[in-house]
Amino acid sequence: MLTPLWQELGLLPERKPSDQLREKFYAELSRHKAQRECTVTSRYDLLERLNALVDRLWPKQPAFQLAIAVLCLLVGYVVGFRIDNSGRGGNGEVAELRVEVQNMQRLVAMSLLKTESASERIKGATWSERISRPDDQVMTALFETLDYDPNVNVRLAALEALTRFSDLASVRQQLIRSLVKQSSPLIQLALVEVIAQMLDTRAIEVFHQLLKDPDLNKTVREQIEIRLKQLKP
Amino acid sequence: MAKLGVLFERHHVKLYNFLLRLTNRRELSEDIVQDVFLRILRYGHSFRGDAPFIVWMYRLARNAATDQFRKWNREVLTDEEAADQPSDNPLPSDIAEGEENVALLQAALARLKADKREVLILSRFQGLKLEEIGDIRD
Repeated sequence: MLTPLWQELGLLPERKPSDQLREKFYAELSRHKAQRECTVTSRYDLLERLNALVDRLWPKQPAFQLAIAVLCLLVGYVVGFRIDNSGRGGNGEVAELRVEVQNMQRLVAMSLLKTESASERIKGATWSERISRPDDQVMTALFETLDYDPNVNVRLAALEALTRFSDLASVRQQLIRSLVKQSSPLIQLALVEVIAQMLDTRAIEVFHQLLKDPDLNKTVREQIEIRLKQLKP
Repeated sequence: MAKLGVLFERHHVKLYNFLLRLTNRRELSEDIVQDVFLRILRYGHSFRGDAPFIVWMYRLARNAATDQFRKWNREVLTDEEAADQPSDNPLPSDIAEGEENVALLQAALARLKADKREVLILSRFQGLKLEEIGDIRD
């Protein structure tokens, strides 16, 4: 049943479009062609004009050509120098900003270290770690905290902050001195470990001094004895 | 651009009949044919040759037809609309006895759903393979 229908569909005639379709199409095609040629021509014209201008202005004598080359070199040098200088100016501003941030961090650390709340003082000690090179005022505050703060955790936080600066001889010396002032075995143990890692032989004398104390915590005593063996040449 | 003239001469009648059978509108079909060849002119560089040119051309035709319908704020004719639509083809009553079958076939074709009519036209009248029809309708 479908096959005859399929064949009969072939009876449907093919219609012819109107002549207007062809006319409109070729008119549109011509318009596009003209537009494209116009674009190409205008581009070509511009290049030609530019070439002619350069050709007209460019000096024919080698001496003048050399002079232009030297002038270009000088202009390049001056521009480069200016850019370099302005870059340095920018770096200066960044350095200034960095100092300001450091000052702000120092102020925050100092004010936090002086608060009544132990957790705030711990925050203060942690804040001071953000300062790349703390000044004497911050260092003094941190050592005061390490030596005299009533809270062990705050003292530990201060020790941790100070450990970051143990590459400084003055910090190492004060840490060694601080050991004899400590009464908490926890702080003593932490300090012994930090001091031993610094491999500073000045610690030997302080270690011996502590060992003479009959009330010294047993664990601390053992730790000092171990560390002494490591420090002795 | 000269090649576009050759392509137009080779394909415009077939394309026109495809669109006419699809839309039942002469003027609209001519507009779409014109649009398709302008698209070929504009987007010819995007033809990669991984499918036959004719498949690409019918794809453009479908897109152009959809755009034209959108422009006119109309969808492809539904069955009812197609039945109501004044056709360019003569009515069965207006024609001689011998041409009655042709008119009936045209009326029947117009009553098919648009997507089915499209497949039938592409296969029976445009002579495309089923694989090519699948590619066109992808």
